[in-house]
Amino acid sequence: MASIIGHNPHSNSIGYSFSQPTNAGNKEHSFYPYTDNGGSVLGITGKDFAVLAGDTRSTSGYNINSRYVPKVFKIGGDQETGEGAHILLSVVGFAADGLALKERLDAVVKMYKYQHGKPMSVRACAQRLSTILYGKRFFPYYVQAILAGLDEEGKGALYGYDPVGSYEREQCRAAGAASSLIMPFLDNQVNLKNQYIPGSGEGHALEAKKPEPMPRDTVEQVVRDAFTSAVERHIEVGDGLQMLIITADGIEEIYHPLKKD
Amino acid sequence: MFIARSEYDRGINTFSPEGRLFQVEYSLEAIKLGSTAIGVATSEGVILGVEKRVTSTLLEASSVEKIVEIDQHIGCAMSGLQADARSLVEHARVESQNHAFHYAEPLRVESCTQAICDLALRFGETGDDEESVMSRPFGVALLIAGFDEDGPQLYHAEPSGTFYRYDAKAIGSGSEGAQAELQNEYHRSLTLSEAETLVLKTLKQVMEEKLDAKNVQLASVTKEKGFRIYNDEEMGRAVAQLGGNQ
Repeated sequence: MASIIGHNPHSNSIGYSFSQPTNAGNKEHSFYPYTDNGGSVLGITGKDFAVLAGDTRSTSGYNINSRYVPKVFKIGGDQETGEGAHILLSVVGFAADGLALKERLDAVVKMYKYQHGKPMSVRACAQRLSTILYGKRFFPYYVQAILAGLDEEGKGALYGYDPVGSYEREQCRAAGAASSLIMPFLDNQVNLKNQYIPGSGEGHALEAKKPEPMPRDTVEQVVRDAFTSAVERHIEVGDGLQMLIITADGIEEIYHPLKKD
Repeated sequence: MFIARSEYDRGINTFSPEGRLFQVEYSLEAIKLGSTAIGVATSEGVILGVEKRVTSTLLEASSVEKIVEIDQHIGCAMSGLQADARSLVEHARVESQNHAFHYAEPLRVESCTQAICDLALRFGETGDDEESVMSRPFGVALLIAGFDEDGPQLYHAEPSGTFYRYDAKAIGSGSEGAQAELQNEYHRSLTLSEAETLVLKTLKQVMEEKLDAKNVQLASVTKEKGFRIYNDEEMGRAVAQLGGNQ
């Protein structure tokens, strides 16, 4: 995130987003509107499902704010239970912006249904989320968003975003603090990058393995592996893994404890 | 009766004691003065047809625009004050483009009609920062034809802000006779070219001038080609075909 949005000028004062008093004679007051609350999310699609998962730790600097703050949300469903939702959104970065973005998209999806008499397609929602993000081009939502659902043909659909609305439909995407740890793992395990069919040829003649949609239990295992590994190497990831799986039958939620260290 | 009205037909937002809004009712009268417009929906698509009142031999018939495009998949025919229709059509076009921009999908025909009716009902409001709104009801009715995921559809929108979906509908000065004719002739298995003939035949019956390729205009909405206004060649063919059928 930091590389995308620039540097928090107070990142040297660990744990605070506002400035610390200095010993110097002149006090400098400033306000930095963003905090990085850490954590990671990841999404993978299958033939007839999509999985969106995130850890539940919320941090600021070396502090843990909470061990259970969900980053994956149901969009367009009941306020409390999420019943009736058919779209998932995950947001990672600045939690307050993420929450505000989720609330806004949720309202838009509900209004759409009232105005047009049909549920919003994931494709339409993806475009809408992009225009929402770009609408705040000069004071962005400090988040990386991932949107998931089922497309018009019932296939799993996943859209990855940057903070100002560039988006792309993908098979899998990791975002957040440990994205640089998880994404290469997904490239290799989901899209089978750098995997070749043994004995298919020498050098350039080696035939690359072709990625195919993975079955659901394999995907769930890959997600768990990705997070248990990320927890080992990244201090901002941990506590719990929340996994939302969307199929034609609805949305299922799975929670796994992660290491709390 | 007329004297009783005079108290309440000035303010556009004032109900009469009988619960009527006279200015809205008068706007409906304005439509009855307009040229006839007809729409027929079939399973293949929708046909719109209007009579152009070519009042002078010196008038350039092609400059009489009574069927206009709203988007690639939606078009409309009008009857009444044409200038008023331009505001409504402009609003519908903006709404349609906005929807495509925000949602990467075409606007539904019903939603487009709803958007037009929302504006139609916003007369008499004091718009502060909004686009300046109308001070009186719009004096025009629209037949909105379009094609979306629910197939071909035809809507009729009035200045009162109400709209209904129709299989076949006529508006304007000849609407009573034309509607009766449509009622008799319409059936669900009409093909697009049969609908074309039905529209022309009905127009011919209610028009004062003799129908030719210059004083009527047709348009169609289909899944394949979207909304299209017939060019001179197609108009000539359609009118010639009608002559052959009669």
